Amino acid sequence: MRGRSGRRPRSALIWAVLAAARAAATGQVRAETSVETPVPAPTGELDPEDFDTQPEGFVLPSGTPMAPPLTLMGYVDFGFADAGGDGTSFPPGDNRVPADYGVDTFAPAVNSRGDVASIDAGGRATNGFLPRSVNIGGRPSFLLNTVSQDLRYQSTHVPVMAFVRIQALPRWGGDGRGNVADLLVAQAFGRVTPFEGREFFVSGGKFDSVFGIEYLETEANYRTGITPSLMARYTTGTALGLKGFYRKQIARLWSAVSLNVAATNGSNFVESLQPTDASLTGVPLLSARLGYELDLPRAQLKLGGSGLRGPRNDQFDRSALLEMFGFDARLYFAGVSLSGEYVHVDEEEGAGGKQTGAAAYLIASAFHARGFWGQAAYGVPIPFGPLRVVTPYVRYEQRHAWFEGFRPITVARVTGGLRAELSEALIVKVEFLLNQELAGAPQVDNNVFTTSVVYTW
Amino acid sequence: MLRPNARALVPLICAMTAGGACEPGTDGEKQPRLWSLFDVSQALVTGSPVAVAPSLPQGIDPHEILAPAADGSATLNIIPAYSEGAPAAYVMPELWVDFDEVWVQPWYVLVTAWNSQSPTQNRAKNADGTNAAPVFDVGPNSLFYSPLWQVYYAVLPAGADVSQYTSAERIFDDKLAIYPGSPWTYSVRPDAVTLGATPPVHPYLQTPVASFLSSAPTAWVDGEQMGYFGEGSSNFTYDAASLEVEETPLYVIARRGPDGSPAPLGAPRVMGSGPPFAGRPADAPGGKPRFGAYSRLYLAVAPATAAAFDPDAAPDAAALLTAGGIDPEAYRGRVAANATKIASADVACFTRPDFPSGCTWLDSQGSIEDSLGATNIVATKVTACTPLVFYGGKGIGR
Repeated sequence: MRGRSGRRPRSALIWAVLAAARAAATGQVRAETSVETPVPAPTGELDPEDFDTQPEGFVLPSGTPMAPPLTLMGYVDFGFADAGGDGTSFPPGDNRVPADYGVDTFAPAVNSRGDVASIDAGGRATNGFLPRSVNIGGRPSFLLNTVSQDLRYQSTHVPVMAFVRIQALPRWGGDGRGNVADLLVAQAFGRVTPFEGREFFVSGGKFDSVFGIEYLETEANYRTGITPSLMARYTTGTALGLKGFYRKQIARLWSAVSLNVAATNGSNFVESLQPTDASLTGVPLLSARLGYELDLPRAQLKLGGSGLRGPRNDQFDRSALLEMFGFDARLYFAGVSLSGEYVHVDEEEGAGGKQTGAAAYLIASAFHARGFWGQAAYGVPIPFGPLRVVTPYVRYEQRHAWFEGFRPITVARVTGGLRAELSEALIVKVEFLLNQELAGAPQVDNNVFTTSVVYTW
Repeated sequence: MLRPNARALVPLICAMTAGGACEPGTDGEKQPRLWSLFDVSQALVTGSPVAVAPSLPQGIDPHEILAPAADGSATLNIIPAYSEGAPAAYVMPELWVDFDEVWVQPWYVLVTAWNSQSPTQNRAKNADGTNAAPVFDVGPNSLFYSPLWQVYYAVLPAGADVSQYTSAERIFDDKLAIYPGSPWTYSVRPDAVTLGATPPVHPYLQTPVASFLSSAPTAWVDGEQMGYFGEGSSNFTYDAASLEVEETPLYVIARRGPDGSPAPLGAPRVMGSGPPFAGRPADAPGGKPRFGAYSRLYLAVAPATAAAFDPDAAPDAAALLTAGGIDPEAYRGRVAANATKIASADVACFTRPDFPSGCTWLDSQGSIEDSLGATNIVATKVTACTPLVFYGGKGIGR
């Protein structure tokens, strides 16, 4: 019987050789932030997952160029953004307190970090449900969104890999606050492969989420578009703790199943919503994703289910639980990439005030959110001129959320854009966000036009 | 007993089991809590005190706030007090613990046209001719609920169906013109909590309290109907930018107990008139105080010689008051720092012929601060909605 088992080793070898050759030629090795990877932007290139193929599973032919043990990678994300209104989701004349409970403050995002144009509530009190801001308000502005530097060390003698990602975020701090430039340790972890030849890895440190799939393209150089979805705030934050990954190939079914499990200080909420560098309750959160992959010669399907449970890490009461679950799916065929995710969040009321990554606030309110996003992209190879691939994409998403005692709000967004790869080191993206307040929140002018130029090394 | 390395696994076990299986890790942390009239009504049933905090361990007896009836209903109590040296009274429909600040929230009154001289002249009407119910957005299920409101007048377009305006969202979506009015105190209430069948009076003086104290059947919060009490306008101040309400001290007069901790005397509380030790004169034009609707409870620790005056227990002193044309009830419960004799140098002012002028009364913010000093005035973590309905010895506006 001729099946996957007879093909896979040769395929893996080809991919590995190509990956090694590319890495050696360009020095560009994908940040080893996770072994689970997204359905890629349909660029006509290799699946990024194939660059991650582990060296324990095969033997390279003699003479194959190897990536050096120490690799420096990084990117600069430079952009231009113009948000509607005053750059916030706060409607003029709204005097409710806290200002951030009755609107979606994350809606007017301008970059891949999810930073918004403004969170200026005009002096009204807020209660910590805020993203980071680039403080441009409704004024068009150039932005240096991220300067990111990765360092990766792969030992040649033992199956250990270390990875550090440092990011500088130069910002104007807002009226009276001058220039501020945060230096962020986005990731720092070591990874061990205990059993040679097995896709089983154990990581310790600060690493990517294991929940869902959107975390896979948090960084500007990996994201198809520019801005994250309305649900990304719950699933794309990095976490500090321990993580294990196991994947089992089922060759005769052209399939694989994987399990990603983590015990961490906090959840995968973004860092503006919770501190990640300390456990505030002394009890870790557990999160996991069970994945299934179908790898056919001309198509790839990935399905997953995720869960998370533990004390919310923005307060001190270990009996105040955060529970999440979600489902994700990705399909890649004929240059078309389809992906989507559903996320369900329930947080019990906490005690001891709210501690976020930004400041301390009065109340850790009970909170609930349900939402989904779906994205379609199609990569068009350009065989002439400086362009390599042009990828139009569109995403639709909805978010329904409420704080206890406040009116539930339902918002939606249509995101459309174009991504152009001019070379391996240069990506240009243009995007428009059409934000809609469907129910519960006053309608407000908070649409966004934004661009991003990503230089990669 | 667990071995040390086994104990290290406890947090992980906690994470995998129900959260309640582990001890809360909240020692010493804030526990913000709000009691509205809905919660106080429940406390009446259970008989448990409300607003219990380490700084006020006895809390507040819900029977002080509401008077229960046999049929399960309850009426709002008028609570006697003193302020600026004269009898006062207030109601106390809400309490907070561990709130460093409370904010005003918007309260929308629907009108058909804006009249800056008389904002309520054009109140929108229901089909039956009654005033359209006001609309607010932050209800008592939220810890951000506040009975301290900034009133806004929302002007309906011609021909608008007033019954469609039952949420603030609709007001914003229709981009109604909005004009700010005065700050008001309104407390939402269960239907079974009322003002009672007879007009409320001062508990000691038996004279009517403020005419503005009223009960209304309906306001709209997110499409849900809710009754409320009207407790007066412009009886607090707030920061216009942050919307944070300014506190007034409400003194609970206490003495040191055997263990040295303050023990409240149970006497009427004393409403201050400004920030502690600010020396600010009371702002009460026309006898209508612009303070008091939001207060923080302070323990004012009086000397061992302090006691509350009881006209029944001191008939001679009461007679002196009567002879001076003063109703002895106007001094009931008022605390004098030199009421009893303990040391030979002490004077028992309730028995002196120069009563009441010979007493050092603790019946105003100034006298408490001057007599007791900062070290004997201790802030608690308890704040309350305490709109005055009786001030300067009479019902406000009477």
